Amino acid sequence: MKKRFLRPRLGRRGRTVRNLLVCLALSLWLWSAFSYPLPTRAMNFRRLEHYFLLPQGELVFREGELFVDLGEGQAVAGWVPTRSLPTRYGVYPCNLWTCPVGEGPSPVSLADDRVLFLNLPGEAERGELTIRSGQGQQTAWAQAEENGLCDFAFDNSMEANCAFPNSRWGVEGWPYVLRLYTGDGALLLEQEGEIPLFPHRQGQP
Amino acid sequence: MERDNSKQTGWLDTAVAGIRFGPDRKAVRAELQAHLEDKAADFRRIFPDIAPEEAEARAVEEMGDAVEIGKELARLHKPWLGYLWRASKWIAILSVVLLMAINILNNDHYQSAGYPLWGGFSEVRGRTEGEKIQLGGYTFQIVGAAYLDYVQDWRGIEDRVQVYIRVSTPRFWERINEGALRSALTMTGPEGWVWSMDSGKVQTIWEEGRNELICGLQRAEWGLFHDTYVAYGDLEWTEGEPVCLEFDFGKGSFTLTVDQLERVVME
Repeated sequence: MKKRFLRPRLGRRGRTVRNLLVCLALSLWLWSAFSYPLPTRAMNFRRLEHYFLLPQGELVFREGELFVDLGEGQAVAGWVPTRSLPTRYGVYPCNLWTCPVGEGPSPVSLADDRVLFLNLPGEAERGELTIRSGQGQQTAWAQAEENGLCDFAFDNSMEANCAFPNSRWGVEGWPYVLRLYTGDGALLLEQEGEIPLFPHRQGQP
Repeated sequence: MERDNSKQTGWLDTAVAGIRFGPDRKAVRAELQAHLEDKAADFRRIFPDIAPEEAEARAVEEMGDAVEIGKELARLHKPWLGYLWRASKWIAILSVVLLMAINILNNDHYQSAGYPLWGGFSEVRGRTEGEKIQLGGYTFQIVGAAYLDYVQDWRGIEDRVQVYIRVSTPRFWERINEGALRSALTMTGPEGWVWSMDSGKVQTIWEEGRNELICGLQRAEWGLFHDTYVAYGDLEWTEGEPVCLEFDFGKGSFTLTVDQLERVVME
């Protein structure tokens, strides 16, 4: 007579462990189906820095989907609208760009109409930024923040410099003049330069 | 009868009172009740003249101290295990249903990346085990190098170098971003030949109606923990000349060199 192979019957503990292992495997599969989301966008920004092999510094600016962190000699800025990694179809977009930062005030582009200056001197209370773009000259004013930042927002978006077709934000590549004032209105610093072209890492295959 | 039934009921209530997980309490109570009924039936069989109420009362006495039994049952039937078992059952069912729904709606049987977990587009030529460099949790290694020699410029296709780079990481959900690798990688060769993998050069094979990449980067094969890319360069190479891959990420830079390439005659 053929001997029937009887599967050992699992007890309550065994069945619970089996179910939990199945749940773990299915959860991992589900997590991958949504491109590995993390609890917050800030965590995703940190992960994207690692993913794009960018240096990680101290987070100095955060506004909605925009992040800027400052390390040694370099800032990493990012637009991170989701909590997931970019997929091959770009369903979860993102954009990170690296900006060289010197000892003095250094610009970081945030959008087509927005520039953030880092490393402002402590005495600066107010700033005035003038950019000469292809559409003409625009000036913006802003209050300096305690952490040495100044966020300039222009009324009109700027278009990218045609001489540099790879620039991502319209402010990049254009010359600027930055004036910083103390609390009593005295001119503290005047700096001329060009908003650099920052290399962008976008969520692309 | 009612009095004896209440004695039985009282005994059962006391015995199972310590079991906090509801389904276990019901199951154990039913089993104890069955034992009580069996004992009462045994008494009626052994002593046919005994009254049914007395048989049930003696059965309760025979079962023992309800409080002591209750303590032992409470020790054996932990509530958290019961709740965990229930929860695991429902989570497993829900996960299966959710995954089925996602698969049906998306018609996507792979990761959301749109590729299977492992596979390849092309075979690695000139397999080798190069030096490993680690940066940012990723390990870079040259795993293949070949020189494709199109005999007598067969069909006008240019000779080219292929160097295969494997990038591995235990964090399978963060395999290296192809765009980041492309932007960071430059191939250099003899006589100052340089090509940045950020751009590509193709050659059109008119007879076959297709384009062939002759300078640039392409994915060759992949697994759960690694990706292998092939970097092409249309440089003039001769035996013994090294080809270098220079990596410049924001996090750091390094160079991998390959000295030996396998000459593959394409005919």
